[in-house]
Amino acid sequence: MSHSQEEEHHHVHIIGYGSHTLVYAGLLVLTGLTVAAAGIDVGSLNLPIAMLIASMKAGLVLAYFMHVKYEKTYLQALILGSTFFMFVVFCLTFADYLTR
Amino acid sequence: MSSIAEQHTAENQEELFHFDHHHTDYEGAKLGVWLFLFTELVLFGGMFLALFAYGTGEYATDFHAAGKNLNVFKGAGNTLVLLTSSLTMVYAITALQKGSKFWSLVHIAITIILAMTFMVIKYFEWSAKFEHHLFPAKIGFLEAKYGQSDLKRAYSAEFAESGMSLAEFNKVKVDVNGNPMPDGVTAEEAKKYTHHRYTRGQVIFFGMYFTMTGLHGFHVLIGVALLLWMFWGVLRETITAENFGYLENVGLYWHLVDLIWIYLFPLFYLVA
Repeated sequence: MSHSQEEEHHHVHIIGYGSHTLVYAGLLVLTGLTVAAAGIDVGSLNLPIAMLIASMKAGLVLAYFMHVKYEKTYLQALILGSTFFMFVVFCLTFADYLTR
Repeated sequence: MSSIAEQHTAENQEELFHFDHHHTDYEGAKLGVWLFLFTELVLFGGMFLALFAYGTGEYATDFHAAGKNLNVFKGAGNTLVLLTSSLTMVYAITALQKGSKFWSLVHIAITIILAMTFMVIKYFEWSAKFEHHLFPAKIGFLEAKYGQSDLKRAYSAEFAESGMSLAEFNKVKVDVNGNPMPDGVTAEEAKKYTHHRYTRGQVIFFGMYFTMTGLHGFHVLIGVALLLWMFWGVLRETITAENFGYLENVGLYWHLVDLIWIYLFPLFYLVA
């Protein structure tokens, strides 16, 4: 038992304060960017740009804060798979909705 | 007789599976939380799908106009508050992993305070909407009472009764798109609803706004309850540097709350 627990904890990846702070700084920059980008009118491109920046922020939170980057492959595959199928649902809905 | 047999089986199982009463399935617990987060993805995903569909379709201009009613500063402020709370959340985990109970408690406490700050800002934001007669469910009042087709009808009788000039009358009796208000709106109601004549698209926008930010706020409150539980656990040392699964899993939930807000913010507050 104690052996298996040691083994388990051996694989735990501790992310330091510094890396977390760096990710946080990145998130702040992207937040500023999305507010600034909303102020510029580029017509129908505004929404895709806002969603792209939001997805970059989501990627940072998932990879580092939720430490998906350091998880086992099966869990990464599950997370990627679920997100992908959500994306498919959106694409199929809009393939129908926007072409009516 | 049977109890001896049961005891025997239990002993065998203990040997077979290396059963231990203090064992916590770290991996399984984390997988369980992720599976729960996937259901959250579907819950909010469906709402985002509806929001996109309404916002890019026939109500695009209505959404644009309605979005101007939201306070970008409060929205951006809440974004900063939630992002910072996500940082203190991971700090709390790192501190515990590095063996500092004290700093873990401090960071959990800051996370709770930031979560409450978010709710206070949300409270002021919603209050401002209520002052402008924007209520969840109530904003469709006139439309529900008179129907969409009636919105196009003139109401000469009321105009004659009002004693106002046409310009004056139009000022108080048209909606934001310049469509006349329906017949049968009493003077009392007209007075009460002067400032919130909303089109169907705008009613949908605010309906989605109250539903989605409300459900998100509910998640924040649950997060506060979970974080208080974590604070207690770290304090009593049931959650430690060797056994931090609970704290990490609550962290996952808390980051999801942040993730949802990352998408809510541009879609509601920056759409105008």
